[in-house]
Amino acid sequence: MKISTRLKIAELICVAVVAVIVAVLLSTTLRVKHELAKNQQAGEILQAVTAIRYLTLEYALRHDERTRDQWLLRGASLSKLLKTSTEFTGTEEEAILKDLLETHDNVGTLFSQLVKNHQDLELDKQKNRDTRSAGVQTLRTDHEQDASHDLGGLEPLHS
Amino acid sequence: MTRQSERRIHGKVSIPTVAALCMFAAAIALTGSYLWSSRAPAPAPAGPLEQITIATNSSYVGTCAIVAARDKGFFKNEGIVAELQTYSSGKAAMAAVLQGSSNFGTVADIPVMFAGLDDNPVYVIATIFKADKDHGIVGRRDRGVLTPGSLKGKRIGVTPKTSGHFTLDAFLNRQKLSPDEVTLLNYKPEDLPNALEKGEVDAVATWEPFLDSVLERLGDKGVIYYGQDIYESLYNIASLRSYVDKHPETIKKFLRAIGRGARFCVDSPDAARALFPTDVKSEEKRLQALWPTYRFNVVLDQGLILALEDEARWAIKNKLTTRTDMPNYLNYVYLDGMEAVMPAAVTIIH
Repeated sequence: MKISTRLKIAELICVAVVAVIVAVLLSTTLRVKHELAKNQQAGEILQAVTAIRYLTLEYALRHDERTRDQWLLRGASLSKLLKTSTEFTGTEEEAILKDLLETHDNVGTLFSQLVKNHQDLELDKQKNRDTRSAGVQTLRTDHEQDASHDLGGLEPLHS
Repeated sequence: MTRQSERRIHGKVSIPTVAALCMFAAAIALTGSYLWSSRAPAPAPAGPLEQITIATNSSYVGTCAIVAARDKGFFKNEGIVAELQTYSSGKAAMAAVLQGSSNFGTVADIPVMFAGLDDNPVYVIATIFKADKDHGIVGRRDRGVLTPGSLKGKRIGVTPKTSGHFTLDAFLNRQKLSPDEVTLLNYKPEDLPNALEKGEVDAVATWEPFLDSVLERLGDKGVIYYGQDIYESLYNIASLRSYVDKHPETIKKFLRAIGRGARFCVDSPDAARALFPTDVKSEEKRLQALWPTYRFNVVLDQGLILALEDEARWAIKNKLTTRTDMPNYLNYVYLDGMEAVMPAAVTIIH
């Protein structure tokens, strides 16, 4: 074989090796990018779930309007995040995501019940207060009527 | 090898050479794109500059982001001309915002908390500064203030309904003292140093920059107890809701400018400190020592809401307000501006 032919073959092999390296690098870069995006999205989901848990505990403790509003906002954004997630493409990952979404919906229902229970409790307390004050009012009126009746039996004062 | 074949091999440009050239070109292109992306900020946008007013205490180091944004041209780069109006307290700055005489005000968390309790229509658009050793109590040794516990029975000067007042109450609480065990005297923040020097009070509860001027004037007679671990000062930008709602783009420009101002305060501490000139050498040294403990980030933190609620409980308990229920402080924070400009800096749960 001629030297020039040998050199050409060596050149072609070099080019092929470079092409393979470039292809491997490109594929690895894309893969890493995809995994990073996946990791970021998983981090966002974890952050949202942690926030929801924290807000649930805070709401159970104080029943503040602010906590309820934040829970609802975060619940909606987590729901959107789970529904629009595009990074998890494997069958197993999709199943986990679906499971998460169902659990989140259930937690949402439970939180609504917690809010409603608290509102009902507050309404009951208010009703009891109203009934008690109405009772006191009735007693006072009866007492005043009795007193005026007693007074009516007395002789008018003379100056 | 014949001379002819040698020329053929060396005369042509080989494929690896072409590949190397391509890679070199790609490297040049990448470097160019990097340099382009990290180039100097665009010059001021064409058209008239927008005028804004900021009620602030520009001698206070917490305003670094704003002062830097003005002096280093970051506001101008965003098409804004910022006029700083001087107020000695956040309470006064908040009043200026509420009266509409300033578009923005720099305020600690306490005036925001009271704005919530009073149903005032304001928004916090960002927190620009946090510090632990920013509030404290300065006492006179010759009046018997030798330890924190010795504040019992003393006359203490304070500006009611301010972060100084909150810090004092928390400090006394830490010493197992109730507010009834001291005599509180009402002073304007700028009058506190004189009151202590003249002996009208035995101690004062205040914040920077008054804290150090008081200590400096007292010399050896003075003793200071910082409010670290008790109160973290959160310095914010507040604005009227109606102004924010009408000027969402101005808010974004404003936030971008102070974001760059805050970056400047962190990256160039010497140049940033030069924005707050002091006549006294010791004050300069103190500022240099404290600088690393200051946090100049522009953020919107969940911690702000929790702090506001804690302080509102304090105000309700101490009957500093007629209100007895907790306001929804989420309604006092404007999220859209920071969400658009620095989303990673928003940790308020939403």
